[in-house]
Amino acid sequence: MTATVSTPSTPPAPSTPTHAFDAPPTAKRRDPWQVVRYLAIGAALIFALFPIWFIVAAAVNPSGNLNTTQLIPDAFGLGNYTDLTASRPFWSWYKNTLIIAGIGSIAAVFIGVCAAYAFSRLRFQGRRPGLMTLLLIQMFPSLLTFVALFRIFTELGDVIPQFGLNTSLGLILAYLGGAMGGNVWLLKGYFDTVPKELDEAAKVDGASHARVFFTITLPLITPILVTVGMIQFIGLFNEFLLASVFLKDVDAQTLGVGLNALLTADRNKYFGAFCFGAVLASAPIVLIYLSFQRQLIGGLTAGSVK
Amino acid sequence: MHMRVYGAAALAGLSALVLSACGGSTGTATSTTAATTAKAAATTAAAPATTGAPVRDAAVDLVIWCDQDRKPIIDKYAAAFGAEQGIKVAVQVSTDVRKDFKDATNAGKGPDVIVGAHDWLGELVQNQAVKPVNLSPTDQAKFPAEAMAAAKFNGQVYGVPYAVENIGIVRNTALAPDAPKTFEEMVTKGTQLVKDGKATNAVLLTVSKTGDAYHSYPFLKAFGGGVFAQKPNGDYDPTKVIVGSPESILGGEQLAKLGKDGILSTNVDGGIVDQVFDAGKAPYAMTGPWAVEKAKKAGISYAISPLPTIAGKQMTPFLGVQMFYVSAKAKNDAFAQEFVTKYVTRKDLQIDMYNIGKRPPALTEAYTEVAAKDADIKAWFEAGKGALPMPNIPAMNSVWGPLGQATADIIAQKATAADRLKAAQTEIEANIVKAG
Amino acid sequence: MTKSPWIVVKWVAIAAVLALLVWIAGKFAAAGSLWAVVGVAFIAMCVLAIYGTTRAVPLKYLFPGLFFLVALQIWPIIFTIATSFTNYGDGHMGTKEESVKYLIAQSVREVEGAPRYAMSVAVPTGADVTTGTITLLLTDPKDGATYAGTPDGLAPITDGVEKSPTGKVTKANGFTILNAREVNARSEDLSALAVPTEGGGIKTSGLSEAFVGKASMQYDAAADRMIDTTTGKRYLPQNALWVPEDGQGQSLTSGWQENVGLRNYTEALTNETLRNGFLKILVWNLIFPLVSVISTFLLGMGFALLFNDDRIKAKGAWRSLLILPYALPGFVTALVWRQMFNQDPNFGLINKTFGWSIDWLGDPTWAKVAILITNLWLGFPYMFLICTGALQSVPGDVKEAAKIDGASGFRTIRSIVMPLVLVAVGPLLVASYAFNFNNFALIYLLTNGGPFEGNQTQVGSTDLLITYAFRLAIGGTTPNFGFAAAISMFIFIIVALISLQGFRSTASLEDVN
Repeated sequence: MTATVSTPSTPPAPSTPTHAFDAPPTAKRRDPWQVVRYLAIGAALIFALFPIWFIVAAAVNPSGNLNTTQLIPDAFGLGNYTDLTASRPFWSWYKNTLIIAGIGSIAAVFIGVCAAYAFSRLRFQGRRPGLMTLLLIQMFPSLLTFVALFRIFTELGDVIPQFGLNTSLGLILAYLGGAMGGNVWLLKGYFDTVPKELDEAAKVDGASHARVFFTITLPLITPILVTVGMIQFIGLFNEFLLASVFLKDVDAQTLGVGLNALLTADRNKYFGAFCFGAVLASAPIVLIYLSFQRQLIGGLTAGSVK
Repeated sequence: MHMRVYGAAALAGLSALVLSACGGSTGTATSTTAATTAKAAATTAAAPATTGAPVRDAAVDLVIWCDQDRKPIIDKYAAAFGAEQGIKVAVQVSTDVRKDFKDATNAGKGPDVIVGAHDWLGELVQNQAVKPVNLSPTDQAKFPAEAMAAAKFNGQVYGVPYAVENIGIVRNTALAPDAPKTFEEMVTKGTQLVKDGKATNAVLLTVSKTGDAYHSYPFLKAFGGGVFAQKPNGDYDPTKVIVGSPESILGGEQLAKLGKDGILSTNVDGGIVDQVFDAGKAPYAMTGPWAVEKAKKAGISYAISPLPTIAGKQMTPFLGVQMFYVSAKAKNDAFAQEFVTKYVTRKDLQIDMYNIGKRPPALTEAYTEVAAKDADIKAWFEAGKGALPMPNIPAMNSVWGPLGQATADIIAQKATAADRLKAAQTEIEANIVKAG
Repeated sequence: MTKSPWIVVKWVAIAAVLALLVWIAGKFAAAGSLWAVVGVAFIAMCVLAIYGTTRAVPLKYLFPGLFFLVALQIWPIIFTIATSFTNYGDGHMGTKEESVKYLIAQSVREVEGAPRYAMSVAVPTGADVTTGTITLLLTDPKDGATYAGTPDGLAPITDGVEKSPTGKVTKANGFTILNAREVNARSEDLSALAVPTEGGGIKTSGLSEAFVGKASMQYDAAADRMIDTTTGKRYLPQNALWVPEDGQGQSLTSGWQENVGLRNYTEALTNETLRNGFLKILVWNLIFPLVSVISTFLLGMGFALLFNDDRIKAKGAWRSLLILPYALPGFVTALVWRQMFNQDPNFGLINKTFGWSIDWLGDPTWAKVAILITNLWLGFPYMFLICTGALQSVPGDVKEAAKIDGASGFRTIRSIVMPLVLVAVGPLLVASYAFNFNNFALIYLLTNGGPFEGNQTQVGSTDLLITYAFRLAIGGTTPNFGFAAAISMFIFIIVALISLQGFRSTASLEDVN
């Protein structure tokens, strides 16, 4: 109903850049807490990683069995890797997954951030019920979702094969159904913590809402964009239920589909190869998050420094 | 059809809602959505990920779904068939053929032929998804009677088998050089090895906390028990459950005893069986062909023998048959029938399929040739002699859970064999009656 | 103001979208689905109205998300609701006509001792191969006699007949013989064809064989009965199944889909098994997600604070490693945990390490603990991720003070940092509760609802409503998705009521700034 509230306010306070993030540790003096901190970090990492170690151990064990009571595998070899790549187009899956999850998560973040902006900054009728509805939709047990989506995309594919089943494009579109979902809440929550004055001041200068959104607001929230992007990316990276309905050509399949099939193929005959694949598959997720660390601590500080 | 109407109505309704909900405001919009979408489209188009043909490619004359392991072989024969008929055949990989096929066929988008296990049959017939295969009596005679029986439902043939599988005794020949004749012999020998510190488990059998009806069945069967009684024509009768019969209970008592003596345990699941056997820490495993390749890689010297007797009664496993089905809604029925009846019955196809799965070929002629060269295959086949096919009637879906849990509870000493199997029988019967 | 170039970009983009929509509409029009054309046209109008004018600013931001939400999330929900009023499920997927047709077709059996003919498919010369009356050119394997078979019966042919070595007719005057592809194209006509002959009908099998078959099932349309001619048994339609008229024996294998009104709902409310297990399961179902959300949040938040400290070297790398449990597919990590919980110290790491003999997955109470521990491990990286993201909105000076340096640090965290972070993640905690409320996969992978106490497999000690209801509805002989959908509706109502309550308490945090 109403436009953005345009309260003229003081221009964005060029607040003294907080150097908390990039400044070196406060002082050179010995900090007794430092030892505690590193011990805590060590404990956290052990808790997070020790179960994964057994997957790695199974991956390099020629017989490829899971054994959670033995830390060091009794034999070592790369036979499982050979098995994996000889019997499966593993690297094609890898590439497909990166493309599908990459495009899918970028599109989802974009759609989500647009919606979150509207919900946080604009005032319109049905805003609160809309938000509530979004949350409720996520809670619906998705028992028949696949049947319904299957029908939508078979019908669509009949008419427009480019969007149908067995296409990556169709799969990405299907994934976008969840773009609004929980993302909007997280993004909106973050928007709410960013002082309105920062972007509203620009509006006073006569900039259009779109310009404010793209040039001022978005850079302010890069940490949460990275976070939501990661969550989306990981979700799509490992998704296999929908993908297995969509992708029937071996070379067009994703890691989620292929690896899941490997795990269930012929009881656990391929368990070792599966573990090798799963470990390799987790690498991009870690690397991508690592490479976004700068953006993760960008945001407010970066925005206000400009 | 309905979907379009509903979808359009829903969209129209939403748009109306959305239009009325919003007022005006000032400002300019840049439609970046389009830009993003276009970019996304461009990127995907450039990537080879979109090479996939739609499920129903008009240019393809025959579509086959199978699992990934078997695709290379089926590809080979599909290509030969395509060349012979001057048509294009597509072999596609489905990660869950059973489920995907049901859904896709129901939507009229399924393949013409699928490759799968015989115990899906009843469920597929129930859902009008497969149709009979008109294999001539001469061709039927080329397969063992048990394999053909597995491919039948209500006396009608629905598929052409290409392999059979069953469990047997795989032994570590370094620990147990001789094939066991009796289960008691296995227990004695195994217990001794455990005592000597040469093994951790005397006999390995998949039990797990929720039980495993497939692996426990031979115990019930040994005494004449089992799951369903058979009709005069050999079909299983879903109205006659014999899980709680006195014969089955005799088998259950053996499980109870083995559980009490610590030979069998609910702590042992499929993964543990492989892990322990491949580590050379158990002389015997009651398992199937799938376990052999990993044992080989682990450097275990092994031998396969039929299931032994228990308390003087011969144990027999369930027989599983893998086969080719023709879809009831096959768009290319003539090609599908031709391929399945003329190509799957070929010796060379069956031998090639053996090379992938290492199961005995179903076609007798192919089996004879393979068995002469591969002792394992001969041993698996011998272990399956006299075995009855796993029931392929839909009622079997009501059995796995209750019977499995019953055997687990018996082994864990949570209840007596008689009480527990009778309770399972009641539960199974109630479930089947509910289905009508 | 440098507006003009952007105006151009904007209109080019709008034009591109409209062009795409027109193209799509054209495709739908060609396929003859008018409704879809109307729908696409409507979307095009929306695009134009929303982005072409300066009005409706909120919609400009919401439209893309709304579009996908409605098409791909709301529509499946509507579909599920619609299904809950039907008996859709195994054995009930098609129409009644389809079931009649299928039951008759699958009852066709080869007549024993009858010949298997070598066969070619032909149409009368001059007729179109795609539409002409199908004629089967048959060769009797015994005497080599050749016949032309049509729905009217068999007629001997000799005129200009040539045969292949296998006996197949390759040429005959008055007929055009179809090639393989043409035969295949008429599969449907061939399936429907039976050339009447003594003892049955000649039916094709594949491309070059025909056999004499006889259907044992018949449909009496007037009485609406299926009749098995071999036994004389009659079947009447009842509850979407063909049930024996005399009440003896089984129903025929496949039934049909029909609307059942509110039957699934009344069944769910009156089902005795469902009622017996309900209370016990509900209690655990309320506790499990609550403990899971609190434990994962506290651990995730703790780790986020710990790894947010600037005095930690290479914290980015450590952070990235910490999300590994989330990066690996749950279907394998759950397997690892299941094995670690194995009671036997030879197999289970936990009992081995601590020298315990706890039956983690076999004891009703310990199994619940095992599930909570596993879910803590599986779920904390998500909380860690979002808390790390949310923490970045906390002003630097506050953070400075909040460093874990002892009592004062903890107080800062509690009174300043937490409220700020909760603004962003509060609603997600509610969403996480709702997710775990229906966490089917975890239970399925770890315990499958077990352990089961008291000689039954209906109600498990770790069952959630969703695993319990689905086992009941779709685990048996005939999975009934209509019934499962109706139960889903009840579960949805329960979780929605709880969540709305939780949501109200977090809503007060909004606009805290």
